[in-house]
Amino acid sequence: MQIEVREIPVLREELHVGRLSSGLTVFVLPRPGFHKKYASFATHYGSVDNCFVPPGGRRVCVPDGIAHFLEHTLFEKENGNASDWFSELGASSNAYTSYLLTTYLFSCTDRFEACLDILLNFVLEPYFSPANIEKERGIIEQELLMYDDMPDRRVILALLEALYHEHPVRVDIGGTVQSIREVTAELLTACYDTFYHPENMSLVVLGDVEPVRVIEQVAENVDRRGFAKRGAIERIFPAEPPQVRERRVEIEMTASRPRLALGFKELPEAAPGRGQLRERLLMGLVLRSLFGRSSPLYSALYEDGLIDDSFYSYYESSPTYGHTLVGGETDDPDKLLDRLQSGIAEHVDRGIDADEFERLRRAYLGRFLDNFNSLEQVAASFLSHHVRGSWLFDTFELVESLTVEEANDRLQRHFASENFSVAILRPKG
Amino acid sequence: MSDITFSTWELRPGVHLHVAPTEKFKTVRIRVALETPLAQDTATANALVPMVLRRGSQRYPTLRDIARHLESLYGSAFGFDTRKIGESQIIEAHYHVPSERFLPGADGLLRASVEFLAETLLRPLLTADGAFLPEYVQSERESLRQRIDGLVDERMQYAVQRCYANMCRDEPFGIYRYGKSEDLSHIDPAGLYARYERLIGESRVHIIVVGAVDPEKTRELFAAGFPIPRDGLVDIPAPAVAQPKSVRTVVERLDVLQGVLVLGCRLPVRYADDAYPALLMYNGVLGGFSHSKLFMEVRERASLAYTAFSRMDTVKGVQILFAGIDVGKFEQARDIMLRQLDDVREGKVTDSELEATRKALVNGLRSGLDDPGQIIHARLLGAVGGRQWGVDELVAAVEDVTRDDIAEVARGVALDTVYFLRDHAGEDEGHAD
Repeated sequence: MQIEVREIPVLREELHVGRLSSGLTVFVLPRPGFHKKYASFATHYGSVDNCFVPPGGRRVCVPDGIAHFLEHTLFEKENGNASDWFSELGASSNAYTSYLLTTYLFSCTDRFEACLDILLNFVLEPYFSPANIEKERGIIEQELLMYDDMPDRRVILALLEALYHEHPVRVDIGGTVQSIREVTAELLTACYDTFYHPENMSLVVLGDVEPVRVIEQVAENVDRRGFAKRGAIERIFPAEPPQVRERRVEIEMTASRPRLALGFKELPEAAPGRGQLRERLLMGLVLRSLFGRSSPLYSALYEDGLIDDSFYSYYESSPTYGHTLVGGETDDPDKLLDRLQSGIAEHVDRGIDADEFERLRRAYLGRFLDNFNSLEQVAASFLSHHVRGSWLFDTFELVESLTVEEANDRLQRHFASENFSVAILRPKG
Repeated sequence: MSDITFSTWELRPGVHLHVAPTEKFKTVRIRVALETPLAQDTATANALVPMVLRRGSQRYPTLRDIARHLESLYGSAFGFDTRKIGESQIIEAHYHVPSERFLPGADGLLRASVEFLAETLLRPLLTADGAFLPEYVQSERESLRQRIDGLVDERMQYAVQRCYANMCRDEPFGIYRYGKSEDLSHIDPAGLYARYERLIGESRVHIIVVGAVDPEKTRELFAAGFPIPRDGLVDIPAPAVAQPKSVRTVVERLDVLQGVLVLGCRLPVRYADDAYPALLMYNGVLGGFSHSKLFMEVRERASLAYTAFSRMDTVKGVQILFAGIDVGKFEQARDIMLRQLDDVREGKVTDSELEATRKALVNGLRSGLDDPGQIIHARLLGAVGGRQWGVDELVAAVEDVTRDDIAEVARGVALDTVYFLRDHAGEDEGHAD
């Protein structure tokens, strides 16, 4: 077991990193004076990992939504439900699945060590029974139906289907009511055995804790389990053409108003890790200059009644996909689309000026600092960076090092190719 | 245990400043809350006021000017919202500014923040004859209309509001926090400005500051830099108390895939009552957590729902029991949910339910001290609800609540309205459920 201490000067905090012999990496960020202690145990396994070759095994392809199904089912044990064990100690527990990660977490103000053992035990000791699988299928079906009643979610799903030909990011994280019917104990076990190995997992702990003691406790729990060293998991992604699949899609559902969602596709070219983090930060500043509240385009669209507070823009990428999504509610999606296209073209021509860039950089840092108030948010951001091979705290230094020339270059390359799709949701009836 | 201690001053009649200095957070958060009675004839106009204010002030006349100014203040976040606590409508401005400690060279951010809040709240952009700008009023009227009409897109919140609107149709609590869209066409720029003047002049004002600040310096900054005019204080009546004579069932139809069942209840205990800790325990045992009866029975045992919980407004004294269910499972889900309430009334609460609830509440109360948003909300709830419960005080009281105390609360709970939002299937068969 090795422990390394990394200083985070801006925050005046220290991150302790423990690398265990089982392959698990443990990150501890002490927060003296906090009552809450928080732990997040994550596997680098999300909804997009539905075709893979386990180390030393053969290629497996599994139904959509199985990572999320596995997350639900893992709480169920022969002798009860893990979330009850946390409740008995007064802790609250939860879990979530994203495109790239499955995360199990708890927060407590008392009995931290007991809670930490429960977390490690329940995630590392699976129990898949037919009865529990059927029960979770019923619950997940209601969860998916709830999402299907949400217009904002539906229009983004339609857009991702238009942007991507093959990549599984085009499918809802939870899968579909049809796909989850195909989930079996055998398939869950195949996924579990592949992805729930300490080499593929990490643990983040925050709060008023003693880092060395935490790391020792985790080592004692995990290293005794006799996990063998393994090679890498091969994740198989279908070949994704750089061009969008469809320019325009329209859907109908009961909603108070139409929604427009516009997506720009740009599969990442920068090296994974720090290189892609730099790209994401640049994109963050580019999108603020283009669509942020201080941008001329935002003001004009707002004043003309084409957008409101629901308007959003963000960039999301992983080593295998990358896109900007822009949209919101509007009474006139076609007119908004025209105005967005011409506004983007003007901005690409004009470019970002140096003063504006400085102001946006400053604002970005202030907002970024605000994220560090919440232990949940720090853990989630940290893991989201970690799974992409980047280091959350590099953000401070990288944002300072970005230049307006790079930002303009990014702006050009991302938008000038006009590689976009449009999804419009129109109210039914 | 509590490390958050507020200092409080009355800066002007009805203007209360609450400051909690702490080094725990990376930002300073400020909330300015205007508390006014929730009433049919003013709710919509009150909700429109902050939407017009955020469009521009005398010094920052456009959205863009405001946004650029906030960016230059290190991305300070600023927004308005309107909420309902009990039968008070709260118009509030939120402001987060990075703590000066973490930004070398960024001195004077707190002063600049107070100046900005005073500018947006107290110096709105006006026409020559002293009305709000017609184009801002016009455009924000549309925004508010869409916000009100858009509630239907959030099926769960919509169902909860529809349940309360039916249940409290003769009480202010039934009013939606943003009012109703029919009112909007009657609101003109001059009338809205008159409403603004009364809102600013007559509301009870709570200014709450949490972060790395010096309380005395903060008081001086607000006392001198936030000259909110005072023109008599509006009377905020205690929330109306009503008891249901019989249970009403309301079924509404929409083109939905999932049904939403909401049971609206009246509570026998309020926020300021000594029995409030027992009320918290009652709600926790019934539906506050994932170990609670509603979640365990409706979701885990019957596999009927993904969400099943209960929530309260303790200032008003109402509660909803909630589940998102298959449209065909209405009776089954309703009966299971009501059975849980009966079990609590009869004292059928296991030791593990009792202790898990107690610990979860204590955990939540203590964890709240690590979250500036929760600290501010608890302070505001205390100001509106008429009692400032300290965290230590509440924890100690929760520790003492017994199964009998909980059963006694539950026996005083009265089911008022059963609301079900469902699809159109079977609508033509000519009978209501």
